[in-house]
Amino acid sequence: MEIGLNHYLVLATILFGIGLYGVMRRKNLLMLFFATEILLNSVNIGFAAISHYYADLTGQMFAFFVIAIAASEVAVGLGLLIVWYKRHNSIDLDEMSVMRG
Amino acid sequence: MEHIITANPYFGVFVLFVLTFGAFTATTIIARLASRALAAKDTEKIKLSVYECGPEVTKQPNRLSPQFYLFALLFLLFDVEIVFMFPWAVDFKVLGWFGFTEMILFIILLAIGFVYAWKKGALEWHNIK
Amino acid sequence: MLEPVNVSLESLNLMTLAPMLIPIVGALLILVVDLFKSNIDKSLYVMLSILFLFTDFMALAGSSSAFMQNGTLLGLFDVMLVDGLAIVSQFIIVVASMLFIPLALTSKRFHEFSYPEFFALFLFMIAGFQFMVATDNLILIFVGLETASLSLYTLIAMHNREKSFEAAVKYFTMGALAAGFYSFGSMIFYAVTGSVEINQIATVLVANGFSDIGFVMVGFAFILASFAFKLSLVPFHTWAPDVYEGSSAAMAGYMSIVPKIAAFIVAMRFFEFLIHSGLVWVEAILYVFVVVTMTAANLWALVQTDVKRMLAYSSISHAGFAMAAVMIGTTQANTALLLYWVLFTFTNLGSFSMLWISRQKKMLPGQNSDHSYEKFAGLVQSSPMAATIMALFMLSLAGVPPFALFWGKMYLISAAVTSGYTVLALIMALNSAIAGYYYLKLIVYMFMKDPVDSRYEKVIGSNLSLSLKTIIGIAAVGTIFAFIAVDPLLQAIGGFVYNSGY
Repeated sequence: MEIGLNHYLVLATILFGIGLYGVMRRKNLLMLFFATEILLNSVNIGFAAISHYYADLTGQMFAFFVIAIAASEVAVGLGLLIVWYKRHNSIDLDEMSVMRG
Repeated sequence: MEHIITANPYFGVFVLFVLTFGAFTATTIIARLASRALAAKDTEKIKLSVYECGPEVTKQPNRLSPQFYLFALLFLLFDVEIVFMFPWAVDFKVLGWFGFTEMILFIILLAIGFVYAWKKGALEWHNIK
Repeated sequence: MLEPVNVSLESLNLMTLAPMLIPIVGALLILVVDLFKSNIDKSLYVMLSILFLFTDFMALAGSSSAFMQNGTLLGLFDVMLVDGLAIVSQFIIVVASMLFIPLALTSKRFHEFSYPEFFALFLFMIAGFQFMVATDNLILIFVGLETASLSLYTLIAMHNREKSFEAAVKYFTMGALAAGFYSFGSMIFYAVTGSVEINQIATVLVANGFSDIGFVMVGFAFILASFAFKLSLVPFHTWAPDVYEGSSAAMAGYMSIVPKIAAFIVAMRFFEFLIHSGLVWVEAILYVFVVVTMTAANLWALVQTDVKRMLAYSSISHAGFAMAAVMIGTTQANTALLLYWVLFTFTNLGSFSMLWISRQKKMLPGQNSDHSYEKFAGLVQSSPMAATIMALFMLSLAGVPPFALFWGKMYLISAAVTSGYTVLALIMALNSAIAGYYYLKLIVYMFMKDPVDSRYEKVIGSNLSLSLKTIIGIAAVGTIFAFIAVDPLLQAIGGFVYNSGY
């Protein structure tokens, strides 16, 4: 069987679904970061595949920027997480309920 | 379809108005159901905890120095920026002086970040200012 | 072997990049100054930031005069796009930032302002927003959006209170989700059209007559969800009240204005060609969003016990109000949106600064939120001046005739009526009436009730300093004398918007 663009897109969509499920389901902050990484990197697969399909490099450029942004997002998130952990000794999202809503 | 639209131009708006309230109620109900179905049950904490007989399980103190995290962060950031250098290196000859200047500017920006981290003492072992 | 590329400096048109480069250079300079000489007084950093923002303002004035002569400018391989929308929104962003940054000079000392990083991040954030509005390339919009958001999360967390960390983490989680949605949505549009420029996407989609309507719909849904997060449209608003409560009043006021105008501009660029191509369902979805956001946020605001949370819900409602203009999509509506936002900037600047001057370091025993209504009860007896000014901003937010926001609301509603959205206009007017109730509630508390606790008297105005007084004065003057400026503003904004084809 030939593997074509659609297979990659389906793969990207499934990974995106996993990431989305993870963001909603996980209560552990670190797991949440993993989920957002899956979310953003699933898009990268899609971009690379489409870029190859159109023989156009723009998609790969987008993928590069997504990689860089995902990294800086995790860096900021980890910074917040370290401060949070130092104060509470826990990274459980359920404990964040000082404010309603 | 055509004559309904011309006869009552605002009927569609009225339908939307009704739909709005429907959608609003539905969203609240769905959100509640979804969060109930998706939310982590209390069992997760127990599932993840260490099995131990007798005494109550106590949490291990964090034995990693936070310095490790800081190193990891800096490594991650500077490592990922390499991603922009690969394409430039591959097409170095084609991009010529223009690409070269651009890359120098990019590296200067990275260097400012590096000097900043260095001066702030993020690279020393037990010395975060 | 490929030929080496030759890029001439003129073809890059670096002029288009100048307004963004100035704050970036300023931020780097602040960081470098800090490296070589630490412990400089914060007022120097405030002055430096204002200086760079002013230079930015001048650069913008330069590009606006260039726009008047030559029309839309393209630069940097056609990635930068400086049209009327970009220029007007950048003016709003820069001026609002210039007005907000002196709020750092409070009489009490706050932890975050002693760090030069605060001001550097602030300038980076402004550059991010400017990139977002001055392009129609999805990559650059993404980069600008994330630069700004990541700086904003850090700025919120720097307030260094229990609640601000919680707010930052909540905002971060939502922001990460929005980034995921945005990139997935743009992937779908790239897959359908083979381009990441909004202009070209529009051209391709119109040329093939929206043959992949299913995919376009899914992509639109993802993009709309990501911007609904940023604009805090119901049901994606859940983070907003918590984040506003957790961050300092100055930051909260800033967040209710600048990120939203940037998101509005991108939404305008993205959704308008879809609406104008006669896709009924796009209009229908936006219609539902607008009506639900206006109404639901107003109802929630009615039951709040904290003034800051009330203002948070009121900002959500105002965002829904302005989103109506994006949905209507005529030149008149877009002009009205920008005018509305200019007037909203002054009013919200004032009302959040009034909360900021009454900021307490520690809460009194028995007090469970920072700015409860009880705190302002009987304010007219202890300081009639503060009570009058606060009442002025509340009346303006409610849309009472001579004050600023009345004109914004009037032009927006009349734009709705001329485009045939009579029912929408009715809903908007009705919502303004509901909103009047909770703004008046605060006025009643201030003027009719007796003070609940004499200790609150000392708290109000305890954070006041000369620069805060100046800012509140500017906001008050802008709110009262808006009727003089409305017509010329409308002319200018209308010219810019019309000439860029929106």
